[in-house]
Amino acid sequence: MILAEQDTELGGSLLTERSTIDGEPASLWVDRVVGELDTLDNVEVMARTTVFGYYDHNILGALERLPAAEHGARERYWRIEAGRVTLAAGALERPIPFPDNDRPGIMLASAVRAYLNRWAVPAGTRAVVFANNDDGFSTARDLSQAGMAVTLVDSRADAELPRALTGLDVTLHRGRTIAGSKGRHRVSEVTLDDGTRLPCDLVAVAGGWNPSVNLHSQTGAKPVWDSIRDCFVPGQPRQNESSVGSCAGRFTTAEAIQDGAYAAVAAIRALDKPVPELDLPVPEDPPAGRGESLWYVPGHDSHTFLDPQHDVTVADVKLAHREGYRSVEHMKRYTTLGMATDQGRFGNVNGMAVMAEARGLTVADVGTTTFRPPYTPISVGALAGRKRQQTFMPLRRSPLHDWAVDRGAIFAEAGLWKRSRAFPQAGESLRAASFRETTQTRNAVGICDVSTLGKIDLQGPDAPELLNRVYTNGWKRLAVGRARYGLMLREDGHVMDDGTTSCLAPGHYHMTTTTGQAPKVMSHLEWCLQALWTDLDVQVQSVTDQWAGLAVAGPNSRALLQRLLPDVDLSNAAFPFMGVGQYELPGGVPLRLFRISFSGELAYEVNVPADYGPALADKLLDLGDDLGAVPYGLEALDVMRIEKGHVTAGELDGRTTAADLGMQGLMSSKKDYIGRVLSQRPGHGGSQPAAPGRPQVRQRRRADPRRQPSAADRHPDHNRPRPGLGLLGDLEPDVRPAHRARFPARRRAADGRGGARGRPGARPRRRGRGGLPALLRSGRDAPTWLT
Amino acid sequence: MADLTDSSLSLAPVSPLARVLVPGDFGAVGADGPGVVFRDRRDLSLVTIQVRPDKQAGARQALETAGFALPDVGQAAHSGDVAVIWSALDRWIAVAPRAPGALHDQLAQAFGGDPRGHGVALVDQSSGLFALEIGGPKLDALLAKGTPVDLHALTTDRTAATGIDHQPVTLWRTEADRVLLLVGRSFAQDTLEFLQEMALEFGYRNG
Repeated sequence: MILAEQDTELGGSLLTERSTIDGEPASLWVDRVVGELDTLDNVEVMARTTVFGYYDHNILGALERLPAAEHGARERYWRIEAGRVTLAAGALERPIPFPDNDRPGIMLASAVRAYLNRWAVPAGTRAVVFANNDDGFSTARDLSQAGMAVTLVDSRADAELPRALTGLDVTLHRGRTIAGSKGRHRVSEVTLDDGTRLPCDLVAVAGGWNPSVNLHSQTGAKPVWDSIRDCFVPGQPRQNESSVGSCAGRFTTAEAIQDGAYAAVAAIRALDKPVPELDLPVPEDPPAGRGESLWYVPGHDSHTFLDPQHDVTVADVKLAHREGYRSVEHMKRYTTLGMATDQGRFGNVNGMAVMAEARGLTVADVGTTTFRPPYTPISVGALAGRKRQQTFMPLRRSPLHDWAVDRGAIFAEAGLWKRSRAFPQAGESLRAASFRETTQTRNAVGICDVSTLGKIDLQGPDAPELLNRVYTNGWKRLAVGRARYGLMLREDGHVMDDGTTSCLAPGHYHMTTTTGQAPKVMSHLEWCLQALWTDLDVQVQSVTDQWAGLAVAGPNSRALLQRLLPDVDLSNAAFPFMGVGQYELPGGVPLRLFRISFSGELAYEVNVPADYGPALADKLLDLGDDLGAVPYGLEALDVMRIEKGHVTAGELDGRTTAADLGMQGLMSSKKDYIGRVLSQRPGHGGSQPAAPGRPQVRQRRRADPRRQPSAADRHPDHNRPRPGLGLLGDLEPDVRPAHRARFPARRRAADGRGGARGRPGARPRRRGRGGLPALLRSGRDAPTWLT
Repeated sequence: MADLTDSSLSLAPVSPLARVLVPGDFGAVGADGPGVVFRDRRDLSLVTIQVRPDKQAGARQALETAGFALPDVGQAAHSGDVAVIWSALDRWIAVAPRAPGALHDQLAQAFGGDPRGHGVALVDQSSGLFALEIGGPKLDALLAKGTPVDLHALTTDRTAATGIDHQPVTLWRTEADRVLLLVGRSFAQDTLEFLQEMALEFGYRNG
């Protein structure tokens, strides 16, 4: 059980009132009860904690303000999921708005009493108490006994000073109201409606009480008007909650004790536990006397403030009525009465009453506005907690993250990941580093961390069928030990993702996705299996984090891997393009090898369990020292893949079709697959080349490699804003033609796969991963502006 | 599989928390010692067992015949060195002392070496999941800062699939004042840093 108390200590109004319980000061009784609660293990007393919001499913938000402590927080936000809630939120005193009531020194009587009785602070020396109910008497008594000169202005014509005030110097003006005030820095005088002028430096206003029905109202329940007590009280609960004491309109201490006991008994019964015999304490309450309705003092309405936080006056509410904003909800929005930080805690009900009067109705008829969380303002910092700046989003770290940090990597954000962008040497710029890495990879061998690519393990006899349905191309005949490139569409026919999938064993496949789309592809597959094709016997599981991935690219990649796997025949014949092998390193470390190239070079991807990723990278650099092995980053990877014409997230941006990407040839006509139908929409290309007006992936090549590029080489459309379409053409300026000129010789891998780039003027090539249509448009297809 | 015996080609594993789980006491450690103790439990093998909903009765029987168990939702079961804990819908995690490949093979044997034929997928996630052990007298106060799970109901050998600091995690209370937290490896450092910061006020030890 949690007992949350907004104040620093338990006790409620007993802390501020001079009352007794069982004949002794109430504070002693409070201390004893607090001591008893402390001994109970199953009760957590949370003082300094404001329950500020009440949400569906009995979930409450609370803010705890903590005492200063080393390493401690200042505030703590709690989310409490409660089985049963008892609201004992108390009541707030209601003002009696009168003309010129916004002067310093004009306070609620309960606040004046709290200052005096709890903190021994007299709020003034010469007080006027303005009341429409018996609370005026106890205020007058307390202030007079503290030595203040007190004048009591009671609106009730039949008010009589009670016996408790006998012998005290209290002047009573009965049947009177305050009609105005004066004072420069604080109130110095009030004028009564009969013209009497009363010098004073403090006005204590007691207009009755408003139960704090805010939390109850936040549950969606409607408070109802209690015409006996003249206040809104909780209505029919909508959640497992009940209100007790003042927040239910039962204002006396005796009623609060009774209510608390009833609520406790109900809670105990709900738990099927025996109800103990109750011995309720007997409080001494001030004599109960009904007040009379006094919602505001007519007069200078534009100076009669209902809501001092928003400067809303009686005149504003009457204007709202004249303008037709007569529903209290409309009036609230027209005037801002009770909005924002106030949340109806001050003059809300008075405002409803002004509107009721203007409409010739009662408060019960016009009803109340809806209260919203937070009950009192809470700092956004408490809600945000640690989630700011670097910790705003979680950071996903590749298994080679620290490894890259040690090698001076510059990082790029890729979703939640940070990927190494380049490994600059001393004094080297990012660009210089990425060109050096590209050169070295093209000429020798480079290794690149590709661990962030999504990896999904598929197992089950129906896995090929699943692949066939989610990819556009055919998968039924992929042999064990082979990989294939695949393109995935969304249901709307646009490209969702691409990647390779390898067959590890019959019914066992390893899918890769792009870094950014990995979670989406995973949930897509789960949706397909759980909702669309429950009959397919396939289990999918993310293994992204299990495997560290390293691309090993360049003409020396085979020689390098041969040193890592001396007993494996990596010759082209034994381990051809798109080949897949599973091996074991000493110590039982499994290794998966894929002959896949994203850079256009002879290249492999090596996977080992993530724990071994950094050691594998070190080992490869070590083994490849004399082969010219270097680490390369995302920047070099991008240079090479653009030169090769491979698409990546820049092109697979959710708005491109297969035809836009030049991959219409990958769309099988022999089977159905997700996105097939809608990809045939007019203007979307379908399995035809890109439709006119659609963006298109192109790769440009200078017709004359000796000519230096100039502005004229830019695509004529390039300066035209093409919102967000980061196609290859847009990326081209980052690929320095000067850099390319350093690779004039179009080397080919020995087997003629990868690294192939056509000569200027050559026929368009159809190359890509897996011998698929390349994304190149060159030669005769080149746009005229190139030639 | 090719067997490679050249020991110069062996690789040393590295913990994702190598940089942040540095031994020592941090925060407001009082006379009674730290309120929370964090331990890297990479000495465990973790294999997920995913079973088709319509094959679970058969899978449970096959595992029980082989001496294992497939516990109910939110439960953990022990069979010798191997514990099998529930971790998500249709998914369990087998936990055993670290021995590369051994746990996977052991479980596969329960299905005659053909788990896929029984609607079962076994996946070694010893690197993919990070096992962090959290103990100490302030364990529950710490967890309450991150997870909405009812910690009173999470008694010994109960498990929960929940989130801490917005990361999906599996919690397994192994003893009254100790849990094993499983989190995706790439998130491990982030999750630990959150827990460490939250544990400052209790004082914590990286053990």
